[in-house]
Formats: sequence, C-alpha cells, structure tokens
Amino acid sequence: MKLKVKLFGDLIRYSPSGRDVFELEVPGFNGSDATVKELIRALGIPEGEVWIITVNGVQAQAERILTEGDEVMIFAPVMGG
Amino acid sequence: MPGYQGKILRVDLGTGKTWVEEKDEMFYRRYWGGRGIIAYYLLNEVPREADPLGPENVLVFAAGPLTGAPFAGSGRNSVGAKSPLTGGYGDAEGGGFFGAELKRAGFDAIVIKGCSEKPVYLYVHDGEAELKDASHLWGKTTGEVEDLIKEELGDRLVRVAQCGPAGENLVRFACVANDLTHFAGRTGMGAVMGSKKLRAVAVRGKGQVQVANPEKLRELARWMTENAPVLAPGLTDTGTAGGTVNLSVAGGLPTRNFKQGSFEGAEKISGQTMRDTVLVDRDTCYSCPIRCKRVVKTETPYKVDPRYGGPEYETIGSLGSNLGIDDLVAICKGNELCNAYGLDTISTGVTIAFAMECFERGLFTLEETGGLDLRFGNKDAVLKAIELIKERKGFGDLLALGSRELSRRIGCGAEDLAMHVRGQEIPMHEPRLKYALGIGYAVSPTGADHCHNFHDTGYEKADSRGFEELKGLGIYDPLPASDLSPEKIHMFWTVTNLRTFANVAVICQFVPWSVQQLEELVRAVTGWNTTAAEILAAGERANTMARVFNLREGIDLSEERLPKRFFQAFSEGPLAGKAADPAVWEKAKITAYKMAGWTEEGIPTKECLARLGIGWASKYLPDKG
Repeated sequence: MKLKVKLFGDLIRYSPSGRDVFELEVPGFNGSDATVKELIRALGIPEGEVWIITVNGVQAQAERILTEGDEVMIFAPVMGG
Repeated sequence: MPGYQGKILRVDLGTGKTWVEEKDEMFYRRYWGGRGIIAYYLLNEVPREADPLGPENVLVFAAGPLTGAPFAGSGRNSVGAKSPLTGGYGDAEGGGFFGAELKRAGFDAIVIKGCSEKPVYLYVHDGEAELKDASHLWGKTTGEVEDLIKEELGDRLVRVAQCGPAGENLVRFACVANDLTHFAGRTGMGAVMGSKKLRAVAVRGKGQVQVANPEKLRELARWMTENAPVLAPGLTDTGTAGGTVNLSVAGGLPTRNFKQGSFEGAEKISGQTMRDTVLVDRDTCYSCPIRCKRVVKTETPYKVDPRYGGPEYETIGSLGSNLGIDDLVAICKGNELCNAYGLDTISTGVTIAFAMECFERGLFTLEETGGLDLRFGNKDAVLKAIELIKERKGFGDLLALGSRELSRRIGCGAEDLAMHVRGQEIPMHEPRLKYALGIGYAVSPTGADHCHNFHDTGYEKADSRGFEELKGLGIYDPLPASDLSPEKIHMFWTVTNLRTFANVAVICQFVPWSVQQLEELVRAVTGWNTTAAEILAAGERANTMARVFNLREGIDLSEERLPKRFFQAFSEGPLAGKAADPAVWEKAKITAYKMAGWTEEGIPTKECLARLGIGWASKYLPDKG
C-alpha cells in the first residue's frame, strides 16, 4: 500500500528520505487493516512525540484505518517562543 | 571573574558623560544579567511615575554570565526600560551577535539615563566609550544606518543595535534591531531610544569572556553541535514558522484578529512553503549551529531585500493569518519594512488587526482612515499602514499608539476588540488552545508575552520531550492543555521560571539544552556550584522584581486579565465549543498568585521577597504587601 506522508517540525528526523514529504510503500501492512498507529510505529516515531494526525486533511485518531493513496500528516507538539 | 567582566558602563546623555561602575561577584550572582540587572536598575534609579519617554527613564542593554561564551545560544542580549507601551516594566531580548560583542568590548551591561539634545550614537570599544554625532543618521532606515556607522568607524565587524526611524518618531511599539535581522521586539524599547535621541549603540571588542572550565565548556559545546541535527532538525529546516500548519490544524492559529483559530491559507504562508519558494539562505546567531533564522529574497510582486532576513512564526501570524493574508511574499515585504523601520511585527500586526475589525464593523469610515481600505486580507493596505505608522502620518499616527490607547480613544465598545494585556499586544499563541498560557499572558510583568511563558501543548504526554524535562524538577503528572488545576499552575510557574532564567543568563530558549546541561554550562563558565534550584530561583527573582516595579508604578492589577474574546468559544473548527470558564480562570489566576508567594490581590509578600533574597525591594511595595 502506497501512502503520502508529511512530517512536521522535528519529526522530520524520522523521515526515511530526510525530506518532510515522501511516499511510503508499507509492505508489512495487511491491506485495509493498516492503521495510523502502525504507520507511526513503522516510521519509528515515539508516541509522545506525536501531537496531531490528519488523514486527507481531517484530524484522525491513531486507530484510523488507512487505505491506498491516503495523505497522512503527522505533527509534533508546538511549544512556542 | 569568570562569566563576567565586572564592569557596567554608565552613560548620562544629558551631560554627555560616561563612566564605569564596578560590581562584585555577589551582585552578579544575585541578579545574573538581562531582566535581573534591568529590574535592579529600574527599581533603584527610575523615579516613581517617571515619563517613559522622558530623561528620567533608564535604558539598559544587558548581557548575562553565559553571553559570549563559545557555545550554542549565547549570542543574545536584553534591552529594558520603563515601557511607553504598558507604562510598567519593559524589556525584550534579541539574538545575533551584539550581546557577545558587548562582553568582548569589556562590559556586562550599559545603563543609560537622560536625553541628548541632538541625535547621538554610542560607540563602545575595548573598555572605552564615546558619544558620537548622529544627526546625519536621523531619519534613515536601519540598513542605511548600519552601513554608515560601519563606514564611519572603518570597521565591518562592529555590531550595531539601533532603534530605526519608528523609534525616532516615538511609535510606542518601536523595537531595537541587532544587525538588521535580530530584534528585541517588545514593549517599545525603540521608542525609549528615540526619546533619548540615541539612534544606535555600536560595540566592538577584542577581549575574551573568561571561562572557569574551558575544557568542560568545549565538551558541552561540541555535544550540542553534534546533536543539534537530531534534536532540532525542524528549526533548521523550516525555522520557527514550521509550526504554522500544526497550529491551524489544532485550531490555535490566530486568524482575523483572533476571531478564528484555523486559517484556510495556512499552508501557503507556512515555514515549509517559505523553504520551498522564497528562502535563499539560513542565518544564525553567535556560535550556534542550528541556523533557525530565515533569509528571503523576492522580486515580484514585491521586491524584498534579503539583508533584512525573513519572517519568524510570530510575523507569519501577525502580518499573515491574523490579518487574513495568505500571500507569503506580501508578509515577507511587511517583515522587511518593519525591520527597516524598527517596528515590532507582533504589535504592528495586532494593532492593524484591531483596526481592521473596527473598520469592518463600521467604527471607522474610509474617510477617517485616510482612504485605507482596512478589510481583512487587503495586503496593500497593510503595507501602506506600516509606512504611515513609521511616519506617524494620517491614520498611522493613531495606529502608532498601539491597540489599547487607540481603543480607548474610539470607545463605543472598541476596547473589547483590542487584543492586548496591559497594553502589550497578544502574540501568536491562542489561550483557547493553551489555557495556562493565558494565565501567563495576564500575570507577565511585561504584558502579554509568549517567551517567558508556558505552552501547555508541550506537556500533555508523559513521554513527550517537554514533559521529560519536568520530571527532573519533581513534576510527574502530564496534564491536558485545557487543565487549570493547581497542579497545572505549579507546572506553569516551574516552566515560566526556567524560561525566565534564559532571560537572565542571557541565552536562547530554542537551543535544546536540558536543565542538567544548563547547570553544567553555568558551572563551566562561572565556576559556581549552581544547581537547578538556583536556576529556577534566578528566573523567579527577576520576574518578582519586575512585578514590584509595576506595583511601585501603580499598575492596576484588575488589568491582569484576558480580553473577553478568549472566554468565548469558536463556533467552528477543531476548538469549537472550547474556552475557559471565566470563574475557573479567575480562580486559577489567584492560585498562581498564591503559589508565587503573593497575596490574593497579587502583591508579593515580604516573606516572598525574603525567600528570593531581595528583602530590600519590600520598601517599594504598596501597604498590603
């Protein structure tokens, strides 16, 4: 299943390509059963570093099931200063 | 004395005299630098009820013990005085190289009183100081003045802090520019410079900052250089504006004078779009490998000069989403103009946002604005307004007062549309997303501020990086951003004192040093046996002294509140239906007072001052203290 992923802020360090926007083929996923949580785990992002997730522009929970071509954005907490 | 030069430069612009004041180690250890030293001089040398724009006000440029030592984050300096924007304690911090160069020039701070009759600039070099004529600099942009001073002194490496033409014209939110691209933005310190006819301070030195344990410091500095790419890659990649879309998605991106929390154009004005379109370079401060500063260049439809850097997140919000503007190039142009004129982009943008809402509600006519069509989204009107504010011409003369004073003059309910606390415009962080941040806006000694404040969203999860830091300070329970319990207030004060420490040390808050590493940095530079307890107390002491100054000036504590808007939930978006209950919020504020050792009315007690080692300041307290 191919996904479009966009990582924000310091989460860029978990990008396989080093770029904040990338396409990801997720081989270990079982078709429509793949969830956002599994994607985050596959990227190696600790749960505490994730603040908000959107799928196709709409806020989503970690349990959200992903399908081919979804655009997933993962945001780190904004501290501010 | 490691960490300090032991010398404070004194200047009387009325007589033209300069002299050196020497201070001992315990003075520095108690007051550190930055806000601590500024509050000390303001309390002891500014007469009660002095005019902020008169000769009695004292203007302080202050470094700290860590400033100028060779490690990431040590390039900053503070600028403080009684504020013409709030009428109370004022200070702001800026980055770049000025602070480090001031130390190399032989001084920990410069304390300036009086007003000059004619324009001058102060040249400080290797322990010497001289006032030089600045008549030929008056009225010129920051860029022109920087070029002229460097040419005149024959030294390209001199570091210049200056007020810009907006400061000359006493715009109440004029800022101080370091090197054209770093700004002590808030509380109107540029106007204080302008009132003193002090156009600039140029510093240059070949001295060194003495370090107690150079080897340990080198080890720490090397560690950050090696680890910054892993710890803070977002700041390098997209700068502070990298969080713009995050906040919009969360519903906390100030939009159209805080009427909304999500902006449909957020992606177009984000740090990511900036990187992919107009960014031509990344700039940095003294000794810092992170390079979070932006450099942008455009040719059309607006020509933007890269020497003025590029917009921070605060500017993206205040000249972008909060004005309904989704054109990144227009925001960059507004940023360039503010930087060339010496205007704080936050107060400039929030004051214009206030005027736009008034205009759309019919409180101003097109005739009254002098033809400025101040509808949200009208970028050309905003750019024109910035010019008029700098010149204080036409409608710009009213905008130059700031949102509080302008709203008072309008009346008719306009006060409720002015987004400020005690006269200082609210920065680009939404209290309906971060509840304790709103308490911080209210109780801050400088009016609404986001730097010496607490950002709730960083401390919601036990395994988040922000919260991990707090465990070492004895806080074990993460809390939701909407929590206002006493436990949250304790978290708020701990973080606020820690962040204020950065403003006395004087160092950057963005370089991700842990508290333990801060202890090690202080020990390595000064040789002191500093612990986290001393670090937190240093921040708290400085904040408390600034508060005592406000009380001495008769600041009305009933003004320590948020505009009504922040207690009304958004009707749509991610935060729809969510806002603090005013009664719960008020109770949390009183909890904050009591937890700080203040009375329920917000007055520090004598016991509080004794605990902080500043019992002498109790003479400035009103009777209830």
